[in-house]
Amino acid sequence: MAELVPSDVWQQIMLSGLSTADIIKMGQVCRSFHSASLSPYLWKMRWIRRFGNAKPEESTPVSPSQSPPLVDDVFDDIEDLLKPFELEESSLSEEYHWRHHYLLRTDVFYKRHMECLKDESTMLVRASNSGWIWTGTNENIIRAGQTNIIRGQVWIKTTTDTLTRNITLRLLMFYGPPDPTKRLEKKVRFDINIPHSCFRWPAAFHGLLWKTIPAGKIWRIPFKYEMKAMDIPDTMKDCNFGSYSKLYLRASLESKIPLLGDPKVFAFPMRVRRVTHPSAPAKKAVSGSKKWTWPGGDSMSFVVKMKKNFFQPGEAVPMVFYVLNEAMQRIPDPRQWELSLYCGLTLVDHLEFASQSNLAVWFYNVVDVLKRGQTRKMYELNGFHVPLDYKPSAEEHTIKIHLRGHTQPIHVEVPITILSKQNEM
Amino acid sequence: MASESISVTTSDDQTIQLSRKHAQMSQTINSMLEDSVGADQEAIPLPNVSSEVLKKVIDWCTHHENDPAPVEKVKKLNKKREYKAKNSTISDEWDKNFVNAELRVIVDILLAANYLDVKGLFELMCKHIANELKGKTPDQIRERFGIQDDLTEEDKAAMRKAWGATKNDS
Repeated sequence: MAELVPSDVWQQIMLSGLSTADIIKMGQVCRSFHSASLSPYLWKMRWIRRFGNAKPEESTPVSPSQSPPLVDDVFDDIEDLLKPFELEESSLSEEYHWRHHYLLRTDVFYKRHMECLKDESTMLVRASNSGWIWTGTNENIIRAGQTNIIRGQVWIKTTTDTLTRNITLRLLMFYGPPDPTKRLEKKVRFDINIPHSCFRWPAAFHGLLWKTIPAGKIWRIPFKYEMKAMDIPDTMKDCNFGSYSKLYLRASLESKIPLLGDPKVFAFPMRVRRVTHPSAPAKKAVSGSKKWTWPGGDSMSFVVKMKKNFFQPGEAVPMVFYVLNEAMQRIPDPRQWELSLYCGLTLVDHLEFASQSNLAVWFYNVVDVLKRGQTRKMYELNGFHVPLDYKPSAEEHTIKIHLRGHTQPIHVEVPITILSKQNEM
Repeated sequence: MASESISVTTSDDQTIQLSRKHAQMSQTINSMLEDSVGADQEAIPLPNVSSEVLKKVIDWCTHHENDPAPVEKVKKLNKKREYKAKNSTISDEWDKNFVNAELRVIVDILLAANYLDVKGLFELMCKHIANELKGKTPDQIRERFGIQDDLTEEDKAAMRKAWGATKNDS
């Protein structure tokens, strides 16, 4: 019956004297109620009916408006880099804004919880020191099985010219706290250093040999870090969410600047967002299996043609290899059986085939020994990860796999198993 | 001179006469009448309303035909600068009896009131359904309204995030 009633009508029902608790419970009933319960219109109307034309005075710790004004903006494409974020931010912030302010004024628990987070929002990182910056969002539930892009920006000001290599941005995901009044429990899910190559350092930083942060100005440094699907743990797994527990992504800006000269690094609130992608591939294994004979020499390559492409951007595609020595060849010297697999996997879009564009290339180096008399050995590889800019098409696609080995000629069978959502090969 | 009654055709092809006063309580019919001034008076099609439900709407309109227009209420409220949350109390005894019907009928009237834009009736139906929802658990709401739980674990995690640490978060 709920589906007969449009979402805007459910919003009106929610505005007809229901409490916040009732609305939250309605949101737990089904998707359509959930979406109605988060509507910015609903919470704006609730605010107006309760507080009239009074404007919410407090700005939230996640507000992008807290970012200081730019002193120098040297990138032409900087806005392009951040634009999708901004769009996402604006739509999220509208949804978040009214509900947040309403709850802040009406729900003492929510207020206390937000104050607990606010305490850690802006941090001054001093010389030879590090400080945690709450990234201002708890929406970054990073999941295994999909590519997670973390994009954001840090604001840095130093009092002396400082080498960029003295600054380290570290991201850590943990969950907690069980109670907003208690100190955060840091149960770390992952901890990574953002490579310096992920930063878009302003041109003014580039020196002859090193990059240097000129002193005295506030610099906005955007960064983009791509976490491959197979590089991260399942952040949701084993998380024991209490009543008030969530996953948080926090960042630490660390300074290794020598104490001499009293340098300072200010880190301002940073925003990090996860890009949502199609859900992780279901681990349904069907695949093409083909027998190849190692031709001798030190390499071989084979091609699997797929009638239909089933790879989606950001998808992780695990693979399993079997190497078989069916011939049971005699082994005069076990070292001859040392096999080095060097697998380059290439996804070729036939539309672009003329340009030989490789959409994904992934290399594995497996050094292994087939023991005397061993006929079969299985290699489970992490597989490959389909790049985010990959545009799937219905055209025929090809996977090319290259193996390189240092061995005497043997017969090797390499059935390939690709785990993905749908498999048509 | 405009006739005193209006013909409307319902979704089940019934032609029903209603007084101009009642017709004008519906913003939808009112707009149609304004658009068709000078044109031949044909029956106004109401493809989203059945005759059974329309009769209920007319009953409500008959009882409330002398009520002040909702627009005037709003102006009065704004003038006094009173911003009170709507409560869901239904004070009128006749209205209480009116909403004492099967849920299916209530939802039909709600949808008809929404389509016909009869503000007072729409508010009454919303209040009644809100009363039905009050204090109920998600399971009880699903059972009462015959709703399937289509929420995934991901949705539920998203809810935990969306609501933060409200005291109501269960």
